[in-house]
Amino acid sequence: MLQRVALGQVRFNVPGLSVDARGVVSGKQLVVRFAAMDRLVAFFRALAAEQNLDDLQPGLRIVYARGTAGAREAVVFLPAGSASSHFGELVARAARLAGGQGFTGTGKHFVQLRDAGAPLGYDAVAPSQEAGDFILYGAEHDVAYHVDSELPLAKLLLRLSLQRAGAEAWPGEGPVLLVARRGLGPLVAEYLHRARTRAVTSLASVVPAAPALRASVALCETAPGGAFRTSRTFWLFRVEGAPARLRGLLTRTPGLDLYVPVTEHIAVAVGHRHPIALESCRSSFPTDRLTLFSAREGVVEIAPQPVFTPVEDVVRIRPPAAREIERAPARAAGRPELSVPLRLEPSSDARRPAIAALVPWAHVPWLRRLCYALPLPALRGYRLAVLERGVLVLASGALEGLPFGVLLAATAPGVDVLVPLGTRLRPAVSPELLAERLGAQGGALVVFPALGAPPFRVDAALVEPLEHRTLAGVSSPTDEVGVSRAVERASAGVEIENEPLGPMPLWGLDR
Amino acid sequence: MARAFVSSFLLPLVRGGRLAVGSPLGARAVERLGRVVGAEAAAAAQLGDSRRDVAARFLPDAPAPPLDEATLRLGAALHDLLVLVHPGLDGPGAARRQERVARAAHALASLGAPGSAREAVNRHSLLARVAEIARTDSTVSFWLGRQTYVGRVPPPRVTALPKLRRVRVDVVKRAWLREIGVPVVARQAVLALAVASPLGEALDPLRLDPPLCWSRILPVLRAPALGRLVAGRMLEVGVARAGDGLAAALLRFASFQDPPGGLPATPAGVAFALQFLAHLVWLDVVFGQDAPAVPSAGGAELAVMLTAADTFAPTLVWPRDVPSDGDLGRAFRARLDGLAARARAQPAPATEAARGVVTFAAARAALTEAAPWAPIHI
Repeated sequence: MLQRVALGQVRFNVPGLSVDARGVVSGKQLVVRFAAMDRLVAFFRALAAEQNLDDLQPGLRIVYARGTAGAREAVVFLPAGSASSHFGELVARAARLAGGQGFTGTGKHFVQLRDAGAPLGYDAVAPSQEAGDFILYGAEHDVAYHVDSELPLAKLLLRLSLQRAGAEAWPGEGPVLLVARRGLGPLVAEYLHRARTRAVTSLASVVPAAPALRASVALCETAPGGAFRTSRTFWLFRVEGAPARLRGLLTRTPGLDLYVPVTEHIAVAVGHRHPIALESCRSSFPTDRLTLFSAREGVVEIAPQPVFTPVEDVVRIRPPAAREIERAPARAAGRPELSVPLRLEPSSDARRPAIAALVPWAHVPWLRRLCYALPLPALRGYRLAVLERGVLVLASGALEGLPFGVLLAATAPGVDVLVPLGTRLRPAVSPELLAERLGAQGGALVVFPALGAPPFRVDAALVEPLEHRTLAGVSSPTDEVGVSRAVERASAGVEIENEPLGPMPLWGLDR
Repeated sequence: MARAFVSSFLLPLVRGGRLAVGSPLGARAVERLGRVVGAEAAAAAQLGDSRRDVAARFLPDAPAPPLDEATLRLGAALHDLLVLVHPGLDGPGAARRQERVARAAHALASLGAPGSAREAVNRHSLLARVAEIARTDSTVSFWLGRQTYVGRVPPPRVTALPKLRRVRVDVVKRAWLREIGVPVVARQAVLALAVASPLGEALDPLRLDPPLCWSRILPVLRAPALGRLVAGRMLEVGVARAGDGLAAALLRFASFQDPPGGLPATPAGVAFALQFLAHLVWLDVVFGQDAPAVPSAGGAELAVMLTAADTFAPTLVWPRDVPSDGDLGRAFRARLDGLAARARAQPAPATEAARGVVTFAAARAALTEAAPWAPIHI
């Protein structure tokens, strides 16, 4: 049984209760019980709209508990947060809205939340001695509950069906994810590539600020669902800035499913929404996978997180149509010259990574700003050559984190002849011979900046580490007198080393 | 082939190193380990030496603790608790598997309270570094994806050719008890382990979980040698902070809210606890340097409890052989007056609850009025 808390009262019969600055009773936890599952979902819908559920982790628990009367109820445990009871009121409001009942307390004893009858809250007349995992003190009676099972929030989120969000068929600005059946993938990739090429050539001069269509793709595979459900392979496209003329095709073509990313790791089918605001449940989803909420197939999990490749690197490059060789009458002539000029031509070989970038002076301010964001390995591993035409950034391995400039790749590993990514040098003479003839030796580099542009050579003396260049303007600090002290050698820590458990780890455990 | 449990688990648990966590152990497995432990004679000898070093901090003349059944059971119970967070248990039916492992751990840890100070120290010498156990998780990212190794060192093949494969390794080290935690199903096993080896709990009065319980630490405090050490530790922590934790725990103990497994709450046990609280304040009065009459922060719970004891059962607070009109008696009286002023500022229900505790303990005090008084060993 409950009794009303009086003004100024700070000690209570129920252990774990305290008062906040307003004198309102609160514990370290809040408990809300529901008689049915749909009410629990309604509660989370109402709560997630106002409160980020991630902030309630790791104390948020959902359990199925059985009371002394035998009724099975869904019970939610929430951390009460700060010393204030404002969050309790938010929870109470959501619980009332969903047809649940809210309690507060600590450990295993919880009293009913305050209401109009008791503005400062309730305390129990006497602590209950009933056995149970937790006890809820209500206005009519006290109920001890035994926990039957626990339902993780992530599992609840994955079980709920999507709801129709209205007639809007296109999500508007921002990227979208497009799932294509395996057979449709290459066709869609080529279609997007053609659309991009056309948009770039036609719009660039007319509307310079128009958002460019960018598409990247990954081939994904779902985990097998059992002996009778094998894994499924499909293409996943990430499309940004799709023009209006593509939208009908992408939304209405059978075999294509469109998703809107809600967070970095979650996407929901277009035209639908999840009953609970997923933006506030980021921590409930693992970050090593992409979760797609489909309207027809339930939840599709892609693990690990797909790595997207630009569609330009995926589409098949078709050779030009063979031309009829013109027949020419044989004529007597002198010995022809066998040497041919070196030529840079497009190539579809995507295996070579970019190892350098030629940044024009117009973009060098961007590079300076990027230096603050580059991680330590990048700053340490990148080198730099300041040239008349721009800045040449060289990486010791693959160049990452530099989204502008002309990306350059080596013609062969270990050879200091650089060509733009997606091109190659012809004739395909041996790289060593090429480097020798071009003078790319002794640390010097030879760079072919673009198709049809003459190459230039960069002397080894011009190349210096990026971190040296970055800190060129730093004045040396004044010396500070240090105090040396002996540091005791700490004993070795105790660390877990998990060994493989084998296929049946619990064999013989109960015997 | 038998598992090298002593060298791969027990020895690093005491000396530091890598604890090999493999398949969970049941009662039969521990029996088998007991039979084959002779095969690890060298590791057992090192373990004995290391445990003797730990035990000597509490009992200087203690011999090396034996590698007996209690040692193997406590070690196996801890091993099973570590198995509960092993990624090998994941997958469909993980909850059921965790329940089985937790049941096995509970059965192994249910040794009951130690029967003597030496036994308590011997058990503690094995589990003294449980709070230091940590796990290192490595996430290896490479150009095709990423792989996480929980509590394992990534194999060299995964980190090979780091530049070509764009390998990046993110390492996170987390404390087992504080950051990873024990699943709920193993709560009983953790409590049973705390009952079996309560010295660690007694030395850590500010712990949050599992909360301090007099029913578990009473067997330790009743042993004079260990009681002195624990009291010294409380003085290091601060009488006000430690006393608050002990007084709040005493309220739970006297109201029969402690979890089962420890000693039941009796008037004698509660009276001993009140005497121990008074003993702490005596020590602070005698040995404290420039201690204020009333601590500035904390100490409210202690003040309420001791003021109630001084009012309703003064024999629990005042030793008979200390005259109240001597220097020491007057100094202690001044401290009690300060505590009483502090207690008066507390709300009435707190005083009422404390009076209930003291009344419960006074039943024992009344019995001993006529009997020779058992002194507290300082």
